[in-house]
Amino acid sequence: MGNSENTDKPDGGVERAATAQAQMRKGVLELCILSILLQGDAYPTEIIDKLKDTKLVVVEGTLYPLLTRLKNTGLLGYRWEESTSGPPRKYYKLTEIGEQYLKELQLSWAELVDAVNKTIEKGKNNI
Amino acid sequence: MNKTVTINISGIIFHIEEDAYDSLSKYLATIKGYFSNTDGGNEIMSDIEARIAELLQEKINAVKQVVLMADVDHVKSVMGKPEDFGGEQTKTENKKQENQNDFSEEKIKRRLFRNPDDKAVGGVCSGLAAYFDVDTVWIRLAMFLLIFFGGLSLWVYIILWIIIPEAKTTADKFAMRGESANINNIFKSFKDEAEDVKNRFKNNSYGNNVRSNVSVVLNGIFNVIGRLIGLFLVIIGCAFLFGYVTSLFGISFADSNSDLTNWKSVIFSSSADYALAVFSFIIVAGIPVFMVLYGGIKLLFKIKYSNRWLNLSLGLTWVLGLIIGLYVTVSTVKQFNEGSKVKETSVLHSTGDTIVVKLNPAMTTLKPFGYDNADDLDAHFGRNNSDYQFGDLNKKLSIIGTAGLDIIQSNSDSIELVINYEARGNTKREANENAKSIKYAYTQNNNELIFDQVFTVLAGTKFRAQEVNIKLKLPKGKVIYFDKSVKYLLDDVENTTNTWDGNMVGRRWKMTDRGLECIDCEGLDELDEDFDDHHGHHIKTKNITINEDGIKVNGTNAEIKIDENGIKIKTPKDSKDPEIPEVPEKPDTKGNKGEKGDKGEK
Repeated sequence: MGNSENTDKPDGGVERAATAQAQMRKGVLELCILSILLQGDAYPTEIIDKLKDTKLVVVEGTLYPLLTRLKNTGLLGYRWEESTSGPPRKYYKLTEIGEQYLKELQLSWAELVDAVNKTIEKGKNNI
Repeated sequence: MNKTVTINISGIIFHIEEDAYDSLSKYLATIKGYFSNTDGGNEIMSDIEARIAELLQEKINAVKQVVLMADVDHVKSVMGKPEDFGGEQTKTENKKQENQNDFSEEKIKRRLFRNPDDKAVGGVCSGLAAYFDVDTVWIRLAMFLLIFFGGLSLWVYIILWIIIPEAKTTADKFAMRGESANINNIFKSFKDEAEDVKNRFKNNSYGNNVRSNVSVVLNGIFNVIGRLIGLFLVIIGCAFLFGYVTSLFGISFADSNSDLTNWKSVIFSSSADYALAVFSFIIVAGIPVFMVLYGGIKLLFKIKYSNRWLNLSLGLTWVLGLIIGLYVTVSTVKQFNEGSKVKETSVLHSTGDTIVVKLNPAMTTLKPFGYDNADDLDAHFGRNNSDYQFGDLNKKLSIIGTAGLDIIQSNSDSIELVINYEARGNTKREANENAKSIKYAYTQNNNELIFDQVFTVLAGTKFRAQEVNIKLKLPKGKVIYFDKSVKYLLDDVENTTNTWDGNMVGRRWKMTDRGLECIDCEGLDELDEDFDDHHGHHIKTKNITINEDGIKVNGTNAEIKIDENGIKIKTPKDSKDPEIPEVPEKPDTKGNKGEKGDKGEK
């Protein structure tokens, strides 16, 4: 089925690549947010600024549901801080569970990167 | 020149151009649509709004004070497209939400919110005003006026305050006003939903997926039915509430209404019991009323609000109230557990064949004891024929009851009078004490028996169904005459003609083998104590004839004739007993008062 889908749409390849990239970004976004918060508490805009440098996040809106979900699962906590410019800011911080979870995530990330890199290398050699 | 609108995003005030406002409100509504079904959707919304406020504030300075379309576009580009937000959802879910989204892009459905920006108490009135598109003043005025209908609006207000969510996010505020103005009022929205259902039925091309189409239609039908049920519940709830509030007023007025106050103080063992009973009523009746209104308003305005703690605590409170109510009921009913009867028998020595039974009115009985309201009582018993009343004896509450008299056949040749003092109590002993606390008296004056209309109960004694039942045992052959005054004293007296107590008075009755038999009732059936004198001149019964000729009375023993010849009185035998005995002004003996001989317990 997957093959036929590809051949049915001539320009499907480009679209697919874009979706794949988006999916990959989304997958690692969680890891990145947790890693940023490991360096210290931050409010969404700070997190976004850091992520923007790495081009992981294109639009800010993506971040908010993710942060709320992480907070609701207990990985993050937050506190309110007054802001001189604008509404009070929600400073997120990593909880103990969050730190634990991040360690596991880092480990599996390293394994994944290793495995993926090896596979990619093999593929390169074949081309 | 452009029109600007003032809005409040995350607590910060912005002046925004109208077109920019429209764009922003649609944008927020779309985002809201995406997160409406997500856990923590509200939180995500307020976070996003806080960020938008921050972004907009960066665009404003002392020179440029108004948010323009370009600024909103900037916000949109920074935040991204709403469809990119819900990264975690699966594709099909996304699709579904896109459909919903198309809908909400066209119009923002108006929803009921409390308005935090314009509130006197909780923002309920201005929220309602926004929903119904009327000026807040009218809603407030209505609320204020309804306070005087048993505080009705106070209750409704509190319920609304609890269940209507506050418009926290800007999207909420947009939804509160429903800017697209497709829904002007709730009835319009009824129609809209019904139309919607109809259209979807007709327009089969809408969805190729039949199943989802059916579910949409069903949803629409349920929406309309849900609202109708809601409306019904609200109406029922208001009626219940009115009854509830009225009875609460009744209870609180009971403190000034002597009858109710008296009853509560003589029935409940202690005032604490009464307080508990009232408390239990407030809870056990109040919570269901609240729940009916609560559920109705929720359905009517389609408010998705559920507060587990509220439900749980209301449920627990209700059960608690029920337990308290049961406790008070059981402990009060237990006071009526056991019955006791104190019997007082005396043999009467009568001189003649005819016993005359008369009544000593309540006033006469009670006055000598110093009852303050004896006059009222007399009028009361005469009018209402009620069993119990209350009197003030030296400022102390005392129960006054009416005695009952029954006539039965005696086994012996002597006339016996049995007085049963009955009462109930928690234990046999208490019941007996209560029975002994009853005071009742009668007087015998030759062949005349004068019974007190009422009995009294020792002041301070609780009401424990005290009763005085008198049984007059009449030997065969004896005749009894009931004076008209004993009408309310007679208590289901058996007789051969099944004559009602009230019609037995003023007649003479003879004790026969078959029971009491009237000996002067012939032809009197249709004749009540008041002559129906419509024609003014002609009255004819078997015993009495009044016409142009004169007056003729045919008694059993005598005959009276008044005509042009004069007055004739025929007496076949000289009887010692006058037909209608004279009433002595004062009974000679009061010796029997309060005395109880021959006491026995049953």
